[in-house]
Amino acid sequence: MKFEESIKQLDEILEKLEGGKIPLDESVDLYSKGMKLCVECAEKLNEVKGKIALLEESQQGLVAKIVEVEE
Amino acid sequence: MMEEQILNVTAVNNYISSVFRAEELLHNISVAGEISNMRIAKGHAYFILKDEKSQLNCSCFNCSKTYTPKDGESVIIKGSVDYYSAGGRLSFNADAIKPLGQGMLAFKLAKLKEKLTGEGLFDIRFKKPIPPYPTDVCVITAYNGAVIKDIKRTIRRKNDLINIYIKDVKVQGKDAHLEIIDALDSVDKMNYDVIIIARGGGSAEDLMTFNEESLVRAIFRCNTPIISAVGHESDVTLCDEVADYRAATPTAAAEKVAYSVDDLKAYINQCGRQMKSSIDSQVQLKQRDLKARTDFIKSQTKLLFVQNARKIKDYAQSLKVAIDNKLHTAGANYDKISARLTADNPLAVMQRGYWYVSKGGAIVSSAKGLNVNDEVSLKTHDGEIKAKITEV
Repeated sequence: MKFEESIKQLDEILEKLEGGKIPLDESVDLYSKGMKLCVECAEKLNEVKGKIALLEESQQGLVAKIVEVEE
Repeated sequence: MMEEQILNVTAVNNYISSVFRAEELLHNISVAGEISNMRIAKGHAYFILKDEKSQLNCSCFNCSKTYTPKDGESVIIKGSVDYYSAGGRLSFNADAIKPLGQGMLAFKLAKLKEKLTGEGLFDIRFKKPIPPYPTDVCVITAYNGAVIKDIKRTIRRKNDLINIYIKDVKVQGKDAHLEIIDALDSVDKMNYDVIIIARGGGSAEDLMTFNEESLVRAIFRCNTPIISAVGHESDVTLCDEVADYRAATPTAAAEKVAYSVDDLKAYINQCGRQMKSSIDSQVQLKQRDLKARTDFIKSQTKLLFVQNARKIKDYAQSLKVAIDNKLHTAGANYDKISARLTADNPLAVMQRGYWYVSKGGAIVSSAKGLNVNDEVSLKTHDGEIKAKITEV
């Protein structure tokens, strides 16, 4: 999942939790889901390194040729 | 016969002047024509603007403020018609002069902008939001230019996670727009989070690529959010107008997509803390609620017990009183009855020596019921005697 989506889900979970209108067992499920997302995001943020690629024409259309990887 | 009104020249000229001043259609207008008789005196330009049929006397005060054309040149002048009262001459006062070529370009651009605006291409309701945490960013620009270096550097300064995909294109010259349209149509299918179209500063002619109608339409039909970063801050192209976000410069475009990884980490931590405190407070709330209910049930039960115990005690008391009353009344009745019984007891009478006579089981209370030889029974208090009547 992209960060964009993870953060969006986190925001939604938080909003539901803080709204306080859902039953406790559902809240606990949401909380577990949210915490799992937090951990996954934090891990990804620490591990993943972005790449820089040049898009080149090929028979299959555009393909990304990596030109730099950040260390 | 009406008396003829005679005016002086100044009055007439002042009136003519006021008529011209009041006529709005003759102010702030643009007129195209060819220059002739151009002369410059004391910093002011005087010339005639003409077309095939007519000519117009023109002046431009402090002409160094604008473009100075030569005789025979086609221009567009912008200004107002003015009547010079003292000299009785009409002239067009030009504030700005533009060579016709450039003027026409601006004119065509304005017309195109008007048309596309009318079609709604620049409407705010079609602007897609730029995602705040993009993972894959595509940059359409010249790969060997300074622009891509600026963009990479700016993004990486804050963010080492974003993948940057570069589509190398020609960004100026004839057909540059066609190359950019091709690139846009292909990268739009690749699900990038955002596409940046970038080009560094340049002359107005260089930037005309980014005013091409077909390119503006290609940007409009893209599904991916698009940031336009063309030229410097002061250059606004139609690409800028149609894009979902206009960055003043390529560096500004990079700033827009490069979220800070540190900030994001902090935000995620904060989310975790907020979720924890939210669930904690919910559990506490439920615990408090549960305790309140238990306490209530306990106190109600106790109350009920006390109430019932009191009721039972009251019942017992009432019962006792009732029984006592009953016993008392019964006792009194017994004594009364017993006294009456004692008083009325025939045995007591019989003990005093009275007997009673019965014949055939029936008490004989009169001598008339008896005959000689009748067998009777005599009842005493301590026995029974059989006897026979001998005389009546």
